[in-house]
Amino acid sequence: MSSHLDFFADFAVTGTVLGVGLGSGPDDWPGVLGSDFHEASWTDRHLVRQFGFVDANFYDGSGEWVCDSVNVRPGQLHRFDDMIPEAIGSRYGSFPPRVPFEEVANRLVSAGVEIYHVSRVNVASLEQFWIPDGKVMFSLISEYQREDFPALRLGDVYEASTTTGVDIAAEQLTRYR
Amino acid sequence: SFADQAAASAAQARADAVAAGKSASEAAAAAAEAKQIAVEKQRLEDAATRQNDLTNNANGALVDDEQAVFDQGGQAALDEYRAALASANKTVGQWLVENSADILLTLLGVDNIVNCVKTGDVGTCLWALVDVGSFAFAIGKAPAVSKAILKVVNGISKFFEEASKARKVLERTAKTIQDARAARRPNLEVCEIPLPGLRLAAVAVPGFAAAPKKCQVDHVGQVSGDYGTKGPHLNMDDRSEVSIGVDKNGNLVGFPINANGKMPSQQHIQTAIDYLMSSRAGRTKLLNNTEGALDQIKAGVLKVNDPNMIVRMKQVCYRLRKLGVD
Repeated sequence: MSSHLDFFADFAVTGTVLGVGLGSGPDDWPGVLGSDFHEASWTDRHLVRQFGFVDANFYDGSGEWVCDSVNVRPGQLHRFDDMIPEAIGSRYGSFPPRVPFEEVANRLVSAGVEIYHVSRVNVASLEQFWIPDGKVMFSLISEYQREDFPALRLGDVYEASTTTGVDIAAEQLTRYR
Repeated sequence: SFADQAAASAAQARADAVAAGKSASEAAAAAAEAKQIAVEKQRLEDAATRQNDLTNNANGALVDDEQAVFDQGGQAALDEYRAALASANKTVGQWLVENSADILLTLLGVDNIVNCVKTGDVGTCLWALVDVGSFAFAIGKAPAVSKAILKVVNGISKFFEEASKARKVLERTAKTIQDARAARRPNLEVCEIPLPGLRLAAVAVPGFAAAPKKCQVDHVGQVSGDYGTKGPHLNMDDRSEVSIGVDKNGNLVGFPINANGKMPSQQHIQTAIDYLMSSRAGRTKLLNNTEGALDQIKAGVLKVNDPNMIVRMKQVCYRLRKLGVD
């Protein structure tokens, strides 16, 4: 049986959640993650469908909603116990309240996936690691956030995301593992 | 009705406050609080319905209420609902115009016509009202008036019957529509603004948990993938979020973000602003996070679709610095 680490590894490598990801439309998601989602709009021409800890964001730049960002938020798992969509739980099993990045990294390295550390541009930033295969960014709890998240520890994954148009210059990346 | 519910909430809150030994002013504050929450709830529901209807109308899709009726009973039910809505909204004046009997409107007025219909002998009643010696009648209108009265005699009963049937259809579909509206309504959590002097007695508001707790900021929003869309924000204890901006007077203001199916209440929004105004550490965190977001945007690590968001972030940073940070 797959585990929660496989979920994050799959997302890191493919940039998709159960096969749906960037470029999809809003109606592509309920068929995969179910109809239990919350829909909202935070700015003009923005739409988000929230399936528990998975946010599918859409942007209407040319008269059509297109997914331009997928955010997976394991940093919320310790706060709420209803964040795992049934389709994900069925495939990957239960999820713990904390997801240490090193455990995900070990799974990725064993599969031959490269991991890069992103140099910090601001002391308040989350610690970030880039997986080129799926163009996925892992953002981790750093020293700066520890006070705000007593239930999480240094190096726990706060969020994993993939976004269209994010371009990380080579000089910002250092091979981590 | 909603007004009755709001009034009942206020009265209950006042009674609870008195029973709890609160002063008259505290009881009044509790009642006002309960009423405000009920009003807020209705406002959000109406806003959500209006927004959806606008979007759907623009797209040629069913509006929310129509969708609810369709989901419940299919196309036949939707057709019946639409026809009922049209019939129920039609006035006697409109019917007279549509049936070329509007001359009676000028001669008699709509109230007299309606009263005649109520007598059961509409023809006799109308003729009794027509002044056959009047100037209008004398200048050749008699045939038109006669024809119009005949149309009313023959047709207006059917009009009222259809309106009555339409009202029954609308009454039948009302619960379906109300249930669907309730399902769309963002969750609002009752809480108190945690300031001395504003602690209120427990209030009972329809659709809300009875015992309020203190509103709390859980944490200052982190710079993750959606910061470019949400902008500076605070995460509240009930999983709702409050976006922060600056108004034209330079004051920090909060906007509700409907996140995780939760919409922050006015109390949550006020709590978020109070937190930033009173907490230097909170201001510092929000400043650092927002400056961090701007740095990430500049470095190409964080995407922002709306250039106005960058302006907003900079405005918030400026205001936070003016208020004082570490």
